[in-house]
Amino acid sequence: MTGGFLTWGSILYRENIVFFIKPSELIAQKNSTSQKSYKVGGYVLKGSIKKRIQGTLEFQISDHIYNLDKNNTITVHYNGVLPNLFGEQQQIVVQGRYINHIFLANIVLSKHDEYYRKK
Amino acid sequence: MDKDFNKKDWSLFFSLTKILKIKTIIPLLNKIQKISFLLSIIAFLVGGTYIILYAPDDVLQGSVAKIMYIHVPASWGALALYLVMGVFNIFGFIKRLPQCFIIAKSIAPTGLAYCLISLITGSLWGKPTWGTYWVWDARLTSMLILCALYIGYIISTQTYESSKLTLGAYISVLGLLNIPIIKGSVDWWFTLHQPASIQLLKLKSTLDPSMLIGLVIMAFAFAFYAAAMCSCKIIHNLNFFKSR
Repeated sequence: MTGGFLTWGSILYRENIVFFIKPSELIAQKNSTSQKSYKVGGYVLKGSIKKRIQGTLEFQISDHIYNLDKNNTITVHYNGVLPNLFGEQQQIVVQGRYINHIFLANIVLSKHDEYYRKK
Repeated sequence: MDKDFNKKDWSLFFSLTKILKIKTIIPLLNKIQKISFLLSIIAFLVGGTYIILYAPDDVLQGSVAKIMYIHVPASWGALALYLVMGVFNIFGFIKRLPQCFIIAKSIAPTGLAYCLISLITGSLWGKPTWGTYWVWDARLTSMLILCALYIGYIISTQTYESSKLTLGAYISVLGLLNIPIIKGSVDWWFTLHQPASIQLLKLKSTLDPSMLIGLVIMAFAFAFYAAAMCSCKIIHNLNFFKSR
């Protein structure tokens, strides 16, 4: 029974124990293929959100909230519904494919931090 | 009152064994049940009024963040009740007291209810803030496993046979491994769920003080309600066990 429980746990955890990777980790991956779907989490850089044609949104996400390093930043294209908390300097998680240095996201999730402040 | 009971006991286990006598525990639980039910009603009324009328909205999430006042105490309750259940089962193994297993069995339904409340309110909270009802991150998955453990335990301890109760106790004790995993999941791995806002051991909170008050009142309300429901169930189960 112990074995069963542990196996069950490990199967559930193996794939999902790390929910997302950082943009720098995605860039550092040498054998990344355009076929694989990645989950990448980071901060939306200030002033990087732009509207492109046909409602596609372009923005950059980075490892850190104030970023100075190009190796930590990826450009994301997304066309779809955004969560309420999406905005500049907010933490988000994007899921999609990384093709020609552009991340084509099909899911955008926002991440909240542990701070709650009065309105 | 028992003569030995008044003696100064150096061993906590020894005195617990005395308290756990069915004759002693039922009148005690009757009192706990009444007082804690009354206190929970008061706390729910005070907390509810405070949350609806006075608690401020969050600067980013607005009034949606008020789900916190149900989600957080229910999650704490689900974890705490599982711990208590496990401790009673371990104690049952050590002391070979059947009533310990009965008490543990009586705690499970309230724990499952809290676990379900936590999962459902969390899911409803996730949609507007994260943009999804469910993701398979470490926190959410480990909480779902807790729910499965509760269900497994309840199914395996449906009767009062000692073999069934012992099997259930094994599940519950092994499942205790999951508790530190739930607690640590948000710190050890990248998860969509944010880290804990309140750290009891460090006495640190990242909540606005005006929100913390509401949360503390609701935590007491949930705790008293759990105490009332559990003692009610324990009395029922012990009486049934005695009359067999």
